[in-house]
Amino acid sequence: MRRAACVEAEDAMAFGEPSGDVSIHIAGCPSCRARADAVALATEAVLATTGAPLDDLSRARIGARLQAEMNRALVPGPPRRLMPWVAAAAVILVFGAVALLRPAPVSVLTPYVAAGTAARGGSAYLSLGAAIDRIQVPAGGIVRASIADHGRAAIIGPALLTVQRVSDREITLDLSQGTLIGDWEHGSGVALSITSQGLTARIVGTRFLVRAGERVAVAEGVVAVDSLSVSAGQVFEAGAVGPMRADDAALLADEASAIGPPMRTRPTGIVILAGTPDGALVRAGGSIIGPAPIAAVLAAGRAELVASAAGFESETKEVEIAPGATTTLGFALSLVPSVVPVVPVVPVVPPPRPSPRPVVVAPVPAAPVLEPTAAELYREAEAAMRGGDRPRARERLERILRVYPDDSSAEPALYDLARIAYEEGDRKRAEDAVDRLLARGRDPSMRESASYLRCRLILGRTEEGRWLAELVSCFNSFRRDFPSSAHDPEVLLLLATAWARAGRCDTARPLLDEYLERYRDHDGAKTAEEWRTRCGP
Amino acid sequence: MSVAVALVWMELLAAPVSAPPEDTALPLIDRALRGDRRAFDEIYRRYADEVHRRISRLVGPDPEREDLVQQVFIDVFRGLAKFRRESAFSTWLYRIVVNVAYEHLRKRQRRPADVVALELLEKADDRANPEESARQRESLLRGLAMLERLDPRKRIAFVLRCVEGLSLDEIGAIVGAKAPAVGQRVKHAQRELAAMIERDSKRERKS
Repeated sequence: MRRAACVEAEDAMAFGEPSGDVSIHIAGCPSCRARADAVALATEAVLATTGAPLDDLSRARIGARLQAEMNRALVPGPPRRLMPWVAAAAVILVFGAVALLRPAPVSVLTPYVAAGTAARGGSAYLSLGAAIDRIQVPAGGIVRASIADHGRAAIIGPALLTVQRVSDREITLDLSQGTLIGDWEHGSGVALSITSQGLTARIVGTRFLVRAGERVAVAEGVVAVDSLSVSAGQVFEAGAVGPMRADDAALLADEASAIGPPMRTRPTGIVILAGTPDGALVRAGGSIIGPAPIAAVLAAGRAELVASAAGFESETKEVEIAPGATTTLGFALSLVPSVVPVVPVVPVVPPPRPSPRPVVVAPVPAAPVLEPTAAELYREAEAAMRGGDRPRARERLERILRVYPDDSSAEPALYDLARIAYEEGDRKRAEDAVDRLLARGRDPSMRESASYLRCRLILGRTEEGRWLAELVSCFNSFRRDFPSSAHDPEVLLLLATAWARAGRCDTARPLLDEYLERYRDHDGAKTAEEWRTRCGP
Repeated sequence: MSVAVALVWMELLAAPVSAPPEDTALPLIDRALRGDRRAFDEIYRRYADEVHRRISRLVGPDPEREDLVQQVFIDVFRGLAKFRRESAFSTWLYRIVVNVAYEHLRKRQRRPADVVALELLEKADDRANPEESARQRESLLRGLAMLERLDPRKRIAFVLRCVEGLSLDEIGAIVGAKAPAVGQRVKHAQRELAAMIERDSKRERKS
């Protein structure tokens, strides 16, 4: 009997279907109580590990890494289905068009013809000779050509396509007339631009259509036209981006198989490079990829990255980029040593005898004590903060400000100093650090965190007369400057309850309503509802 | 005290689940799928804390939590096109959180545990009474150590059921298992936790 009750209690604890007697049984049964103890112990431990929400620096760090990941979003989707197609008409037209072509030193366009069908085991693509720099297609004709091994295009006549510029990093074509349907390999390391009667389309990848001087439509990937981003299913026309037209979509779909199999996408990985000094120029394989800190999508494989800045020694890092992986690299460039002062050579005068003077050896200056770099100091400070050693963390952060006041880590250092002081209850010191940080304002990403902390510090000043006015002003500014901040729910609730506590229900009510409308599923909804009830209709 | 906790907990499990709020994430998802990167930023901003909290509960005070949160959003980003809207976005997100946590727990089991329970220590330090603080700290660390010894599947089922208070059907939808199987996992987890306490008590009595 007792055994059956224990089984029932066990089921109740696991399945959540307690009967009336189960609670009484658990209270009186040692083994069931032991189980309840174990469940309670583990549950409490889990609840205790929930911890604080993500801090702002972690949030920003993850955000930056996600941004880098998003750059990979332009990778095209799964391979498209090849449709059977006929090449004979194209062959005739291509040969007709080839007669109009002339070779040039910057030739990147190689006309080709396809034979066979997908149904018979795939098509063969036959090159029609050497690369050329100009394709003219008569009315009703279509010429298909590969573009420097990184893309393919169908040019529909009457059309004229010419190569404008070719470098290791970029190819520019001009479509002065006609329609071009292209497929460009994303991540090839070579950018393709197409100019057309005043339009400039920078092809990121992958399947797109350009109608000379009229519009650019995108079937897959992204094309930037005159600095506007045109995504899949969209068209750029008359200076604006809108939904793609049905006739363009049909043409793109028809040509998808005729152009050939989709361009492959080379496997890529992300490299995040950061260090000191901020803004150092980073090159990969000799090509500039941008100023550090930077997250770049590079072709998988071995790469040589060079960071350089005026007045500093360049630093070279070799890295193996694994496909799909993110590699983080740091650098700390050393200052170029200043010119060593030349010690004048004193002619050796034979000492008068018989009282020889000892040879005086000029003292060699002691080697300077190597100061850790700002990045090293910040890493040490982070480790100290993680270990709870606040004095050590503070010392390292203050040293960054003293020795490297212009370094990019100076602002995070100020923020961390403010947080440490805030956690220690030293409001004065916290306010001082936040004010210094906001006054510098060089790093926009720190502004949100610092502004939020500033408001939290005012919130702690309840003993002062004008604190409510200051608090409201601070929170209002915060909400205006950072409308989509992750702190917005908290700030909104604090603002609303501050007004309500001050007896200003007329002001609190719309704020509480806004909270309940926007953040109903947040933890503060219950509090907002309570205050809303207190404030009345 | 423990009986009281168990009773409150059972009451919570028996409580009716309120109707889910409207899925406000759908317009954002549509925008993100159209290539609007700001929409994805907004998804990240909106759900980062929730993902962090859930990951924390599932894997404990692990130093790699930040990386796990990042992994969740990368998976969300990559899989957004596959979100079929048959469930709420938050449920789909929860599924990804659980998958990431499960993979992490599985890997962690294969290497020596290196969980620094700093948060637990800090939490315990908040208490005014040093003796009570020490007792609490010990108790929390003990609970955590017990969870570490559970199989990841059972641990996840236990946390979702006993801490998050989800129904067996809800957990089943998240972990891709039938409700009775989830119930068995919870039951086994509870049995194993009780057995651990029993073994520890015997050892203490012997020493």
